[in-house]
Amino acid sequence: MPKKYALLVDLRKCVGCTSCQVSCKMENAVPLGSFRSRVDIADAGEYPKAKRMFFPKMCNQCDKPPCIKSCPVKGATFKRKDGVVVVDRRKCIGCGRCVTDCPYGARFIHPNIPVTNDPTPFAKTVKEVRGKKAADLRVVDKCDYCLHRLDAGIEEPACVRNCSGKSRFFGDVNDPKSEISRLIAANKTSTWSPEFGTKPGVYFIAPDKDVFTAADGPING
Amino acid sequence: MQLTRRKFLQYTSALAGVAALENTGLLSLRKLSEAEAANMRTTMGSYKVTYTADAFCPAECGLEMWTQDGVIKKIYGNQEVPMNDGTCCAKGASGQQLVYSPYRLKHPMLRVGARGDGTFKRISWDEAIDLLGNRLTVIKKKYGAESVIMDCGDVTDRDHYHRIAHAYGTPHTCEHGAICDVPRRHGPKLILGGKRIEPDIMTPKLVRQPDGALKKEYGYKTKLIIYNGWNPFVATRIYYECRGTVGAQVENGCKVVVIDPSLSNTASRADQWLSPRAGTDGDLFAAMLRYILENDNPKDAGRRYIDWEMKKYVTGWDEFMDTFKAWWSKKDPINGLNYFSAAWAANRTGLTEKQITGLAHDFGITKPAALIWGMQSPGHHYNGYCCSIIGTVLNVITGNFDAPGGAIDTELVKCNKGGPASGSGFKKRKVKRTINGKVVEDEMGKLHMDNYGGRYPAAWDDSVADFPHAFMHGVELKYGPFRGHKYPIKAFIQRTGNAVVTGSNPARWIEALTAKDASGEYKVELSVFIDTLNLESALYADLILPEAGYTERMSLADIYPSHQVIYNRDEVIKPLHECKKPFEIMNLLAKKLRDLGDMDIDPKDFWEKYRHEEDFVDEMLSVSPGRVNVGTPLPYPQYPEGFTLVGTPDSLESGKAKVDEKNKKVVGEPVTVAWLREHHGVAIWPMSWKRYKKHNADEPNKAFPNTDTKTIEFIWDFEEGGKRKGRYSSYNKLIEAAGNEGPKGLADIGWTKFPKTFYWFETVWNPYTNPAYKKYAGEYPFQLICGRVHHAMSGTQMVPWLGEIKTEGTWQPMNEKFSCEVPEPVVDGKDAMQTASKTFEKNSYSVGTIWMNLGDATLAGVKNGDLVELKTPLGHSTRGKVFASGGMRPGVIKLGFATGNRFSKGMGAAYESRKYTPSHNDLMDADSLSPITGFPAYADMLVAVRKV
Repeated sequence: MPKKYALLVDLRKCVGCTSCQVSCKMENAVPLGSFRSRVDIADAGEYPKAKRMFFPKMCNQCDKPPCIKSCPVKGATFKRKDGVVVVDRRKCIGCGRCVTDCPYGARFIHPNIPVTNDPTPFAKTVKEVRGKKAADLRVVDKCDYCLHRLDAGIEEPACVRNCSGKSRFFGDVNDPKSEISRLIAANKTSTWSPEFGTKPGVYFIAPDKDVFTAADGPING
Repeated sequence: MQLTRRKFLQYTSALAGVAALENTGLLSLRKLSEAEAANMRTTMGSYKVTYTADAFCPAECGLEMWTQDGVIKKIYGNQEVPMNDGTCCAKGASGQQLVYSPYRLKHPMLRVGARGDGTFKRISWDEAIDLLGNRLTVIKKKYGAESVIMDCGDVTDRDHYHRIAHAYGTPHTCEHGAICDVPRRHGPKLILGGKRIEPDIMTPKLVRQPDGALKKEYGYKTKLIIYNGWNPFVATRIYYECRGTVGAQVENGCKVVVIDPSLSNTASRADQWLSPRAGTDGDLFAAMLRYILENDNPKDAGRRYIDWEMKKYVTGWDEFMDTFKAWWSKKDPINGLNYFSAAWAANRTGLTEKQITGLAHDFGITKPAALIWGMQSPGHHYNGYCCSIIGTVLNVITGNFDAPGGAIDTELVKCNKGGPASGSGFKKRKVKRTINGKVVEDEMGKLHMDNYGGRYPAAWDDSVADFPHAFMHGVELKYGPFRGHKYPIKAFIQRTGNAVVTGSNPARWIEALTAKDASGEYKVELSVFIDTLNLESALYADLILPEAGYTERMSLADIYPSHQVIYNRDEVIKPLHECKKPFEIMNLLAKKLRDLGDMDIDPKDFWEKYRHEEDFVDEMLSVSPGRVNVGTPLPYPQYPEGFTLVGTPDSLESGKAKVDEKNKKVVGEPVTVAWLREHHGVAIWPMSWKRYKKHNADEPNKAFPNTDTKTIEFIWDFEEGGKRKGRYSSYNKLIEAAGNEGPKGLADIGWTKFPKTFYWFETVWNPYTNPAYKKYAGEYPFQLICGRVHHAMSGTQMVPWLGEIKTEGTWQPMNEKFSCEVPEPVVDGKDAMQTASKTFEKNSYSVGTIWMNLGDATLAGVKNGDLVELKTPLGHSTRGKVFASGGMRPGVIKLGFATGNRFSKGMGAAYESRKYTPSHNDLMDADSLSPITGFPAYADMLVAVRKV
């Protein structure tokens, strides 16, 4: 069976250190103010019943990704056989439709990477790029499970490698022997807002379900 | 740009009926092209990996840094270092933004205006060293070398500076430990000769197996951890506690209790959060000890609290317990209740009796367990000593000390390093001083202003907070051979610290560094600032020297693991700008002093001895691991028990070591930088437990812990075999020799000498425990506490990736709109960062805040984001924005350390927010130095809140 990569976060072990957020920025040169990966932190409740929730968020690498449907350029964003949803920076024209259409706010326009694909041929149908040259536009960026590491044979995104609480697990869910498969089999897992119908592919072991509502802001919000 | 839930529902309904989102069909499914993949592999293969140690925070985790053409491109945890086991926190991972920060000190500078003005001119290194050497030479001739202080403030790698200072002739070398939670460490040091008691949750541990092989052991044994005022998830000094605490919880069913007035991140993950009044940690521990002593029953499995076997390993059990119990019949004047009873503790802590006795019972009955206290509890209170003493005793009597899964004093088992490199030997040099017309000759070390001064002789880590007093009034030695010797402090060299902001109340430091004598000269004639960062203390320096950053120099990590581990801080990149390494600065200054005629500086002790930076680190490693072969399983069964081990793990393992019976030493091949580089940067020696007893008999091994008797000492001034022993005895002998003239600190609480065993006194500025402060409770209804914001320690708030994080209630996105220069990551470029000007919108960037209880805020008529002023009974005030939540005990307000009023432009974003961020230290009582060691009572103050 082909590999299908997925990420699982065991929130029982998340210590709220935000290493995933910063390690991602370090690994992927993510600009200030934008995020591929982020920890949402919510304080709730009254003394002495107060609680604080940490909710690490990233692209869900959905099985039904609305971002791909909205892309006007064939192949500019696509889902690989191994499950990773990626952006092809050589094809993206920076119209931003996928950014708008991701209900998780997992995509952003990268201010420091200009578009290289000439947008002119698309101007007729894509009003967002009408009258603009490639140099005026910026490509879209998102979590791709550190694709450059995967393709170099390092099957471990930077956020997983550096996680202080060792709460993040990455691997092949098609391999029943992988650690992530074993964790999914042994524990009750949840996904973030499955009601969106996108079939999100990031798993959480979340004993406190409030985390999904209390910390429900978008990743780039 | 963001799709709202409502918009999303519209969108999905528009798609209804269309087979748009199938896994096939409209979805593009392909791999990257081969060319793309090959390109990625090439890029990934071109990195150079260097194993090094972080110094961004005191956890000093093992890191691997990936460079390309001399530029740091990636930072990960070193997977062979058990301190962090391959992981790396947000700070560690943001290292590029500190290394490539536009705010770094870049070249030497000389003050041209008045101190504090911030006007400097750029000078060359030649000019800088010439000036420094000349000034030090004049001061030494005029006032004596003891008039110079070398304060290696907040970061490790201090040995070069200590060496040059000691060789020059001053005993005054100190470091961060002087202003960091001294009372917290006092109990372990007194009783065990140790320092930091931590739970046995570091993984992996290298353990000798029954078959003789060494194996990395994972997994947890601990069943209960009580963290009192300790917040390892945020203040990660002991970094393995991040993964270890939650690992023990999830994998071993360990219960975690956090005691803290605020819902810290650690408390938010605990099974039980207890929030007592501030400054009552010792009260809780005392009540736990009393409960355990009164209710222990060896015959009842449900009440078998005390491990009576422990008495075999303790000296002074009866004296301690008798003195402790003598308090039980006394009534506390503040509440009329008997000391240390549960009712008494409930009255003072604000917890219920049931919570207190329940905690005592749980701790007594659950084994293995660990009772841990941190900088946010006894660490920063005037009477924190009492708490750390009782805490240590509680771990010992319940049998948890050094038990598998119990509480380890990491100071006792960490790898020894430094050796002769720090130049302590120079303190033995004989010097002459004329005192009242009489020439006295003795060791230079006995000129020490604290140890032999009349104020805080037991300041084991020096009393930095008392320096302003010495700057203003000079030093008069009261104890030792130089009794009666008076000298001024004429030079203050501060390296990688920021004493003006962190070393007590900033106003006191500024006053002392700008005070002038009758002739109009600064009392402290020379103020030098050596650092990578441009902090507030630089504003009060005459000379600024830019030091190579932590990725640009070589040394060793200073860490607190469960057994001996040591690793390189290696040179990852060459020093940036005009920065120089500590090694270079040491040799340059040594040569200059010698050229100017200082014969105390011998070339053979400096540039002829250490030709390369690596030579110096090799000497630091020459004593490693330097710990005794003790515990179960015995680390090296082939060598005698109790002998000190020196040498590489492989040489000791293979038997390539000499057994020196005379000195009780086993000496293998020395650990070197080169050896470490060949072994993933790290050396690890085996773990063992119950290191205080023989591995094959239930009796003390008399080699561990590090006390006079090599047993656990519950008494601190006693006679044994005709000899005076115990940690306080040397001070009491000095006091006796001085005609029973006690030091100032002890006089503050009515004592003359240091106590022989258990003692108790109250904290200050606490209306719930100290009757003298009851009168302030009405007008100043809030207790002020403080805590470290890991992401925003005093020197690193210019790192913007960490400003994008919020931490607990004290570091929140509550900024006003501002612009400043920031390092912005470069995509696919030669550099890692480029400097850009960036505007941060309101409430988009974290700044220091005033964290208070939501109900309190409502009562005071303030809400989240409101600007308020905090005012103390002493008239000090500070301003900041309110963060109100349920995560705070009513009546308590918390601020971060040094997260506000940052007035150095070198602080970047933090400087921009200085007018609406609170400074905790601006509120503290600079005169409340705790009596035993002179440590400032940072966490004892009362405030009133007023909306601005």
